[in-house]
Amino acid sequence: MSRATRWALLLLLRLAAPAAAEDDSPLTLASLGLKGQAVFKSYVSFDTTPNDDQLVVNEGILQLEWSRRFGWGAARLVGEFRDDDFGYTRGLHFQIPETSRHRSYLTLKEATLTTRQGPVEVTLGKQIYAWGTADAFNPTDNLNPYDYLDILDNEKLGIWSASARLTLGPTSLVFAVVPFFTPSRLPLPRSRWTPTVPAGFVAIVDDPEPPDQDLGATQYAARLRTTIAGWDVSVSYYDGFDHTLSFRQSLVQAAPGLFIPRLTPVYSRVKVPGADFSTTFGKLEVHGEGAFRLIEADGRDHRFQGIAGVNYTQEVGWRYLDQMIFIVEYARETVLSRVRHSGIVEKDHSPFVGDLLSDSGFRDAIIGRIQAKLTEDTTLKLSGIADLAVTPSYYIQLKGNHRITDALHVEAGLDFVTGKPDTFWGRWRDSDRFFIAVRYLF
Amino acid sequence: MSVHRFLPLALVAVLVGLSWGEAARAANPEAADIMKKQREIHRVKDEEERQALKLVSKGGATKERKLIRYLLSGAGDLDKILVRFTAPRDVENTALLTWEGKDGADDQWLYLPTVKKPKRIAASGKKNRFMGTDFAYEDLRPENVAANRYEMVKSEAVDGVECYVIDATPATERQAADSGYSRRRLWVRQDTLVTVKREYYDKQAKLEKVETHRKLVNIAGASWRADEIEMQDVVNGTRTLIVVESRAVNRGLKDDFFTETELIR
Repeated sequence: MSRATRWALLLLLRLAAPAAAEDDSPLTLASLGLKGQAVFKSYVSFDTTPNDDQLVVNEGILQLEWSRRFGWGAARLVGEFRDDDFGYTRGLHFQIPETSRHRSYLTLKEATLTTRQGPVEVTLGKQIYAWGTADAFNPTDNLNPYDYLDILDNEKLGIWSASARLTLGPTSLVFAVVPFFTPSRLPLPRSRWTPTVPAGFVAIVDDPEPPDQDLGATQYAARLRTTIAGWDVSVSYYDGFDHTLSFRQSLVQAAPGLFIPRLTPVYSRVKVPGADFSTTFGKLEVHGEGAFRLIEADGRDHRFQGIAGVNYTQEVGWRYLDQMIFIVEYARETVLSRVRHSGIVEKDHSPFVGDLLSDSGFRDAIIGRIQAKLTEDTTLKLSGIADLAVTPSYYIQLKGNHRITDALHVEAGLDFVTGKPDTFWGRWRDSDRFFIAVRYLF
Repeated sequence: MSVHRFLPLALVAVLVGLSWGEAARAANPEAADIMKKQREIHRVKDEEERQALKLVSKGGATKERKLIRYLLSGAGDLDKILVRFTAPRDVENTALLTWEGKDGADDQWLYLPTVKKPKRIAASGKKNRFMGTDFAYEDLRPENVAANRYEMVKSEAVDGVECYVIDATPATERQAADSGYSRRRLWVRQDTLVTVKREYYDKQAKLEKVETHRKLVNIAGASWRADEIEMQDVVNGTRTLIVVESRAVNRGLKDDFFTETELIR
């Protein structure tokens, strides 16, 4: 080891563990400001699909988090080692922005530097934002893309961005700038989550056409939130891209007089003014959220998306049933007007493919959840989404969580998806499955 | 028999009844005054406590929790309270923000780090137990003098110190509905007006829990706090011990601290 490397390591240790260095306390992960979790997940599908004959998928995740407060603010890093036996994870890549179709074995999930001056807090780095008051779906929460490699177990992806938060009493204003566009990670072609194209449907599908990563790709968002007389209210605005694909249609001449449709996946540029609220009436929490999704480029329809619901908690107090929580929501999406000559394919209820191109299960949907807290350590949860748009389709999940110790948790359950093959949920009708996850926190 | 013959007797009975009533009311204001004075003298502008909680099961198995509790005394005798768990790992950074409201109509938000956003919750669970401990949410709140009726029962020594023994019962319909108790019996030290013991009686008037305050410390002026509080559930045989590891008062915490920004930190 060179002298310079030795000095660099010493400096790193000194930076990470001032407490351990200053007193004689033993060197532990906690003294280094490190914590984490190790997770093993296993999914057992009951059926194969034409795309996917693998019934069992196993996944391992080791997540490490380091955080420290300094005189000038705070720093936080969340890194993840991950692998699975399906092929969701492949290679080791560090990209800004992340555009790989696969997950990397090693990922920086979040990395932030935060500084505060009076009422203003500025955060730079890879961040995850969470806006809105609804449970199932947030029309005002548009900044982060998602990892949809497993549709039913999707997760938010961090984005490199700068944000400022001004807090004045109960009122806060957040402003975020995202210089790069990161698309959502879509299901792999060979996976059960990519729907089978109906027989007889012929089209040329191009590679996705991402926006140029120049100044024009910069996205902005702001949210003003306050509490007045027991009501939380906020207004928000997003100017950026949809993270999922739309399809621009054109025709290719295959032979004289024979034209084949050509679909070019593009990302719509949208402006999304929105608002949300939450309040309580006795034991009832009531919330609502709505946003106008106005197309600026590469989109077909100006839409309104809304969701409202109630949350009711009943304290039971029996020996093996402590508490029940009931959540009911209704979500609706309405086309306000059509963009002329957009050339973008209708995603919902299209000829030949039905809802196979649709990316929203909340066009006319009822969402429900019943959560039974059996004891302090054991919870049972039954959730369901009914998409009632034209032909109904359903997703139901039954999940149980048990805390074996404070550090060791296990969760297991069943996913059921039903509906006709060309409906929103029905396209995954062969993906009913059992799942189990064991989590060790340290 | 004429009714008039009984009129003087009835009047006497009413008068006697009235005088007994006067005597009872004379006692009640004294108990209420003590409780009001207690709330006044032990109130500080703001407070920060680091607490270690030990949960002991009937069989003797223990679990530990750690938290930081911030409190800001507000106008109208209404407080703002922020509780943030620091251990164990599975509840770390879970936080609960409460703005006390008039007549118990509080605003409450819960932050779960996995969800990454605060959620307004209905503050209906006051009688519910706090994070698996033997304390209900209402047990951890400052005494709500306006929502309770107090009655002096007797005087009794606890650990050699003379105490007022006061019964507290819900004074409003809302308090009766929100509270898990029909009655609480309080032992209030006569010298410092610190409550050193509480007995909690359930809705069927049966003794449910006994709370003991130990290691009293003077924190500022006439304000005292207990560094150890033990709650024993006499029905289930469990107990919870709160040990205050550190405390700071009147540091100048501002309203801005008790907001969403701090809740999600």
